[in-house]
Amino acid sequence: METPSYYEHLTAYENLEITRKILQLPPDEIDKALDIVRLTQWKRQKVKDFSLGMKQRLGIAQALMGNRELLILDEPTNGLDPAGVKEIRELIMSLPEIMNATVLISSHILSEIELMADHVGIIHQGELLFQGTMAELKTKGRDEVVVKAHPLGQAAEFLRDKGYTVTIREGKLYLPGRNINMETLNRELVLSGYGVSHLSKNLGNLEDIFLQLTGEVA
Amino acid sequence: MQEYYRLLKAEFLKQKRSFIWPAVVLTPLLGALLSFINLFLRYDYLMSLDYNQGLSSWHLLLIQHHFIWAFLLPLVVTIIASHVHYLEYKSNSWKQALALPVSRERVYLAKWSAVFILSTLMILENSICLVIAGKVLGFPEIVDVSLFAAYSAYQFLAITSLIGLQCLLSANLNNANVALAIGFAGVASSLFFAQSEQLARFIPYAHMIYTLPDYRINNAVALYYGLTFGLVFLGAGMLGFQRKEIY
Repeated sequence: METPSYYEHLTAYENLEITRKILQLPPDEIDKALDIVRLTQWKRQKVKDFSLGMKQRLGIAQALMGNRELLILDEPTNGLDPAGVKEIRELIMSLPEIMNATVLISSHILSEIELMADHVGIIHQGELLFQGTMAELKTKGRDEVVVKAHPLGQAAEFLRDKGYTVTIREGKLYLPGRNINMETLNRELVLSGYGVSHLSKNLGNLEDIFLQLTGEVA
Repeated sequence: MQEYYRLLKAEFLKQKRSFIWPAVVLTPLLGALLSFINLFLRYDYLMSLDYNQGLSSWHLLLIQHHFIWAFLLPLVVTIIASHVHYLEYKSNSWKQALALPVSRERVYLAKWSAVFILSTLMILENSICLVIAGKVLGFPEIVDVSLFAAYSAYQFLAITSLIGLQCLLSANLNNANVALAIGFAGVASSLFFAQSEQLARFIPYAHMIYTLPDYRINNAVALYYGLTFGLVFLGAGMLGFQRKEIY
């Protein structure tokens, strides 16, 4: 998938015909696969005229032929423009339902994995560091509350006096901790005369969690 | 065996719309046409030469034709062998081809067979075209079938070693153009190698020179060494391909 394989002088149909012949599949398998990846309309067009996204879809169609129970896709959105990424993402997400197949994606683009996967495994230098649901992985993140208050310095001092650990970054206050009650925090600040314009819980994205798990961040 | 046939069919599907088919059809035609023109213009002169005394018109046609064909055929076979493999490199398809549940030896054998079949078609077409050329030229003798049969048979065997070597190089060198360049250099220098029969035995590019059925030429070079080297290279190619790293 990372660099899709295809014979560009042949049409999409002919490319799949090669796979079909080798695997001894019935002829309707080609149309079925083309239909799933939404390439039916272009099946008689030479692959050299395809966009990269269409070539990726053809690659997926090749992988789909033969009613596979497990599909392993390596970097399926690599090199695609935003529209292509969205298209391939939606296609991959629809495969388990349409094909009743498990899809295993290997990728370095963690934001994409966050959008696509429900189960995740993190491998670092050959070692499986985590395996579980996306929700479980999220709990591994460093929880913190982000506050934008005015005046910033005095608000920070006020919160420190209240016993919170506070750091100031990029004009915001960061309060690490999983059990901070945001309602209480907000009330304390407002009733003490500070203007609060932003208050949110930062669970940390997959990238942060990955770096944390692999020990690549201080 | 079933798997081999499926892979062979797939090989021919891959060649759809490629320049290989026009090359296979037109090369023998071109070779025969050049020989036709040669004999059309110089038949009487050639027959009058001492060297050709006692030869039949068909034998003369083959001798004259062999000067062109002994280079033209190996050149085109080299291109075909290279192209069949280049297609996989160009389209990054080795990974896809070998990810399918098929044996590597059979993938290699299917490619080798495709080149052999295309070469065989060229040899047969060339013989037919030469017969037609002789008929159009109005040769007084009847067609010497045994001469053409021997010429074709020697070519099948001689070309085996060339196909074996070129497939071995094309499949195992990551740049198929290097294999093509080696093939061109080999064919271009084949006449020099052929000067020594001892040396020619071990140079697959020179085997084709020894395919002309003529009492002055030792066809055993094409017959035995062509086949032996052909089989050795085929075996070596299959072994090498098993160990080929695909990324």
